[in-house]
Amino acid sequence: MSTLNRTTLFPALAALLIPAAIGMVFFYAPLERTMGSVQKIFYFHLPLAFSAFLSFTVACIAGIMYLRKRQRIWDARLAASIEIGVVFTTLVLITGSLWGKPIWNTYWTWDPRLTTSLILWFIFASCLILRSAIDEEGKRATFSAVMAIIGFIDVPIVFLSARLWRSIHPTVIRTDSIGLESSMIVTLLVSMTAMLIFWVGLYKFRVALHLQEAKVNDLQTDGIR
Amino acid sequence: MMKETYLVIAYMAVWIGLSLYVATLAQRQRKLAQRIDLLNKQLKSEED
Repeated sequence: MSTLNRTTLFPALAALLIPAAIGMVFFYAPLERTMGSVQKIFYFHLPLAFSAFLSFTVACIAGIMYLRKRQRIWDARLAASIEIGVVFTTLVLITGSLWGKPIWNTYWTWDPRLTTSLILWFIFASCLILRSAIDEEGKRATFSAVMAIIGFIDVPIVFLSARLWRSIHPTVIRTDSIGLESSMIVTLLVSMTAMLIFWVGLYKFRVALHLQEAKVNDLQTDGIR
Repeated sequence: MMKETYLVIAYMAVWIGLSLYVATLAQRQRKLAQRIDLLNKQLKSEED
């Protein structure tokens, strides 16, 4: 596969699947009996949350790999996954609030799932701030790797929070079944696939951008010498 | 506000948010590519 194909494959797939997913959400998925049309937020709220979890898992792995190998590529993967994870978590919190208002009659409540999600956002947002505050490349990568590994502890806590503690947040995926009818599951799977493909394209793009930034820094340092 | 309005606002927030993020990254990439070209030229002229 040529370089052009490799770089355009995921954006092209995402460009095809995202409109298909939106179409399915509005014209194929049935209306939920009690929540009505606002429940359709779920078809992107869950894939966004899943992609955010994936981002922080990749960040944790990249952090471990950086501390072991001290290679720039792992720092690039770490930085990319943290940034994308923060963007996706922000959208999870926004879509969740917009879903919560007509259903719970409030944009925000200190529910275990919501609170642990907000903590996750704060951990990784502060990781981004930390990265922008440190100029030295090695120190920046080490600190953010350690923070990403420690921050990852909150990911299983967010996932299990609605099961472990009393929560008003719905739990769709249970150990015994999925609480959805078949057409809803198909729509969710298409939305999930579209979002994951978009995530991969975005991640590859962000890693390439980080490496390009590092190249500029190298060229500037060479110029100073 | 009607439930449909929340649905539309949520979808707009997701896709406008993601589009803005992609546009910001593309802008950064364009600027970096220009900077790399400029620095490469500077280095070459210094070597010559």
